[in-house]
Amino acid sequence: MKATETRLRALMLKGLEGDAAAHRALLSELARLLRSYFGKRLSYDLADIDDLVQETLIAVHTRRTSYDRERPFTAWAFSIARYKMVDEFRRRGTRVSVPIEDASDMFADDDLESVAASVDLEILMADLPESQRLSIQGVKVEGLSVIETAERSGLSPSNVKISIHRGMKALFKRVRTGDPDAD
Amino acid sequence: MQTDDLIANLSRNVPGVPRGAAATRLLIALAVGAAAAFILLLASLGVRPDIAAASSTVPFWVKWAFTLSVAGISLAVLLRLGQPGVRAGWLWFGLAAPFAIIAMMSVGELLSAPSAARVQLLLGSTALVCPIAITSLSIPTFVGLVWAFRKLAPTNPRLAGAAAGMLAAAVAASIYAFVCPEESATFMITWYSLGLIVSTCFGALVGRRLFSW
Repeated sequence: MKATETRLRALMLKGLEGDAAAHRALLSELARLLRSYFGKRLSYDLADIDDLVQETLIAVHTRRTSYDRERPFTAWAFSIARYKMVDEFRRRGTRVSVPIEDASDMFADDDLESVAASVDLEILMADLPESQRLSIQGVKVEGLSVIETAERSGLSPSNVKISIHRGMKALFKRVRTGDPDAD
Repeated sequence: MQTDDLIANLSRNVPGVPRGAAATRLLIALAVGAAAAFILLLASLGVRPDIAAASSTVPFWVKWAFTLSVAGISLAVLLRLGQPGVRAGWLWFGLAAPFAIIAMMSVGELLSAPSAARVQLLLGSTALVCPIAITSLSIPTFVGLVWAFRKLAPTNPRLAGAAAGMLAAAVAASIYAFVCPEESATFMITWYSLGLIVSTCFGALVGRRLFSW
């Protein structure tokens, strides 16, 4: 996932300098990731998924000005993807809801398919309080023990447990409402 | 169309994007909007006749400190709202600060004034003109910001519309200060804020339509 971010960001930076080949490579790779991102979340047929992929690519292309070179590229690109997805829900008149089983997917970090999900998790966790983020990162994402996480983050073990509990509750709530800003 | 064809098409023309291009677009909108508002002001109310003397008084600068700090902070908020994946975070509290400071000054003013003078502190002589002028003068800047956002990507269009309304009104209020004869913080926190709020609500109302993409 780190590798994906690094590679895509490098391509984006070159594209912003006017490098058409890099830009093309970026869009191609994004298309692949987006297909899997939307495919996992929507039960649309392939043609509709492709429409959404294309719309997102067009937005990425025409609104490159909105990318801040100092910030993570995938967070930017997948925020656009999410916006386009929510927009599509609205157009179809369906309520925005991500099945709760998806949430457990987000904690898998074992294959390239989950890149998009990990990015999502990053975005979701970004504004949790630091203690909750560190605790979930340690125990749930990296698979460390509570003690190890406590030592690393400088929190007490019981604090880590409480932080995980509260943080997970907040995350599930956000995922369920489909709104990263929900509190 | 096949996705590969689309990508080939999009990659045919890849202009460079200079650093800080997003902020530059917003600043262009502000400069043009402020200039247009100033011309509108000259054509309607004019500037206060004693502007040279007034511009060296404390109330004039308090007013500017208020409107310019609201403008500066809402500019920072708006820029972030236009960049997917970036959050305004603590800046929301920053935006409340100028209002809190003027509100505190107003309380001090009201407490130390004799009760008969309090209504005068609140109403001054231009209470009605002020919010209407600020809201009207904000229109050119708001239009400019809608233009600026054509290359940005607000993931919450309604909020971006509201912030654009607030910023446009803060610019308008800074221009309106050239004619405004009022000196009390109580006047400012009431009537300036009213102008800002009306424009913010207007921005939120049209935000979904004008800022979505």
